[in-house]
Amino acid sequence: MIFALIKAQCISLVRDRKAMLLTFALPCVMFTVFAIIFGSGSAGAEKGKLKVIVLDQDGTRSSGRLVDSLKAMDNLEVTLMENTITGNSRPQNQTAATTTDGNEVFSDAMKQAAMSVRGGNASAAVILPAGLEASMAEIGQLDRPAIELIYDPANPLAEQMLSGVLQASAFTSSPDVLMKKGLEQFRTMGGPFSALQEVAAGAFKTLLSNERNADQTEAGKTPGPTGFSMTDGIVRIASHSARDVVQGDETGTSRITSAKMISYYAAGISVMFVMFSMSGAASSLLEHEERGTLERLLSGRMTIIHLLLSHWIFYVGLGVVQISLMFVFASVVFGLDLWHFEILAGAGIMALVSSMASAAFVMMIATLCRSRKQLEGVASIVILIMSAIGGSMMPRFIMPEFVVKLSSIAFNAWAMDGFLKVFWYNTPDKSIVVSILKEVSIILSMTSIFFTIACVAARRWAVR
Amino acid sequence: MSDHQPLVVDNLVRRFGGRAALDGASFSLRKGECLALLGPNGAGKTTLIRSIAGRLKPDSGRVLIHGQVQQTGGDPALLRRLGVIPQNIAIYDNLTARENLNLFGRLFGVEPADLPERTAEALDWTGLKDRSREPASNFSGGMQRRLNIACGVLHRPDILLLDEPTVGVDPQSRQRIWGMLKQLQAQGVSLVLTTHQLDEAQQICDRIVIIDGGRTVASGTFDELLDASVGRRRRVVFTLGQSPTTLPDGSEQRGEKSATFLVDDIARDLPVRLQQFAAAGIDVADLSIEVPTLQSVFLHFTGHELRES
Repeated sequence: MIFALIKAQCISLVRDRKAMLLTFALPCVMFTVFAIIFGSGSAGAEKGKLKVIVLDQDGTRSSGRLVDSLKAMDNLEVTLMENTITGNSRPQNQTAATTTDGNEVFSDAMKQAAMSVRGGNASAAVILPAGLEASMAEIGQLDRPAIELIYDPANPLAEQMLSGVLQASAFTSSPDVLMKKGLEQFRTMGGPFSALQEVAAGAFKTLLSNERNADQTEAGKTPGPTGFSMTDGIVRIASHSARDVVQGDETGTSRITSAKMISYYAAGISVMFVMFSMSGAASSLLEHEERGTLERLLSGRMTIIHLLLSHWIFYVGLGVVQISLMFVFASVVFGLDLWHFEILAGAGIMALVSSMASAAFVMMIATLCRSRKQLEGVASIVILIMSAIGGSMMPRFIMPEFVVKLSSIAFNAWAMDGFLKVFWYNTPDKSIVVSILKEVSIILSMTSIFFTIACVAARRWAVR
Repeated sequence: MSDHQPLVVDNLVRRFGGRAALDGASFSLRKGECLALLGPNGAGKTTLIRSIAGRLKPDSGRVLIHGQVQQTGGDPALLRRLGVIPQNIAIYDNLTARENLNLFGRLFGVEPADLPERTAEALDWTGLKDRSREPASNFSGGMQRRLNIACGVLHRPDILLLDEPTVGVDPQSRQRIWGMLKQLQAQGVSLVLTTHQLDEAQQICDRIVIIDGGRTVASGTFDELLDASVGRRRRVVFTLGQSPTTLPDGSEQRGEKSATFLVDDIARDLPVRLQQFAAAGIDVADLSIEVPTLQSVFLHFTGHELRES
């Protein structure tokens, strides 16, 4: 009886060409779109740059070096603003946002820069104030001029990143200036240098300055005459991708070698897609009711459980096929790492349980709605919200803590975690299938809850 | 009793909120007969059908199928003997006629081995054999209705409930569907048919149960209902040549130049009336005979026309 209804649904789907197209072409199209949008971290892809406007009001060697440091950064696109503003309402060396009567007042330069940021021409603006070099390393002097950083609040990462970059660049761009300030402090506290000490200090300062210039002319990569680079900072930092450090297991059998970000986002895309795909499926239950076939089916031997099961099994199968198709397509076109036994097994298990949960979830929503119109509205909102909090649209690690906790009630968040363990967070020392047991168990538990609620809500279609 | 009356509905009551959709409906179905449930929209016909099918739980009263009380949700053994043809065309548009029949045959318990033969019979019976491999969406309304009926009888029920089986169908298709129902009746199937179409009730059904306001108002053959209400007298309407000053006894004036009489026997009473008009010097230009109809019966029992509700 259940099989008969499943067969009827298969035939209906195959006969409907538009539905077939949407069912099997849409996964590939959707994956392509999102892969292009989110997969920019893949090796070889050009990374997006943060647009920054810089105004150098200081015009000194140090400020020039600072600007050059910013320009040299791969992830910044620096545009220099002409220093055409005259008659600045602030005296030199006064911070541009000094309170006078307790109100914050901004300089003309800041306003001009802010206009560019507000207008979307840049994500941030940096104003290097007059007197910057003179006040460098004057730690403890609160009235020294501040580098003004104006950022677009829609991109909070820009503020944090640029603050760090500016401090680091300030530190490494003018080591001779820092040394000079340090020696002045030393003289103030420790007394004057001897003549020999002054000569030595002067020579070292010259050396540092020459190193800095050499670093700049050779893009800062080749150590200078002293044998070290002044752009290294207080400590040297060497960055390495974890996927380059651990590539395969100890036997040398490489499991995952790809560093492509598409593997990371494949999880989110697939889970989000299957949820939206199922929402269309849910309306078929209500269509049954509207057409009268539901009444006919339930007038015979068929019970509401049979009916729900037949729909659920059909759509689980459809979801597995769609996700599989999506991953194969991603593998062929975007190089998703798929063709390893453990990955296939893990992806297959996750595709199955994700489809089970998605189908049960949307069926539950369908049984709680009274009409297809109601279902369309409710399903869209619910799925969008769940996709957002589940991490399908942006990584959860950048979300507020309470949202991360809230995501634990969203089955798609667990599905994402499971897929991520299959495609991204896998290590050679652990079986992928074992690593996803927790996610699988939780998703299956949620599936049974959704299905139970659907059965209870569907009782309105049973005997009244 | 169950052999002679495969279906008995006894004082069914069912309320939806404050409204009584069924308010003591009762009737019995005799074996092999075709019974019409006649009533306007909102009379409770569909509610009655659904209650008999076990899809609605009555607030009180009972339904007996072959002497056994119909359970809430429907006893599977009894459901096998019952066929329900819904008012909606409840088939799958994307499936062919053959596939629809196979599907519903399986869902209603036809064994797989028997399915091909029964499907072929059904296609012959509905006249859809030549188009059995076309999707049902290609069919006309009449064809879909025939398929709708066929899908409900594949399991060979002996009681068939049909809810407005010919609504929205052209006259030719209606005749064809009536022919199909007659064939079923000839095979011994007992039919209950809800309708608000008087000619359908009068022409194909053996007995008529008038339902109004959720109650059984009257039941019987057409002649029995006629005798119990307006009677079998014919009304003769005379169109007169001039406006009469006086009329013969027993006549009523209808309009300026017409008069009517009720006659028991046309052959005997009509000549007498004509002579009376002649004797009074009144010219009779024309006459017509009004036969008592189900509409007038319905009007008599319910106080309103069938289309008023």
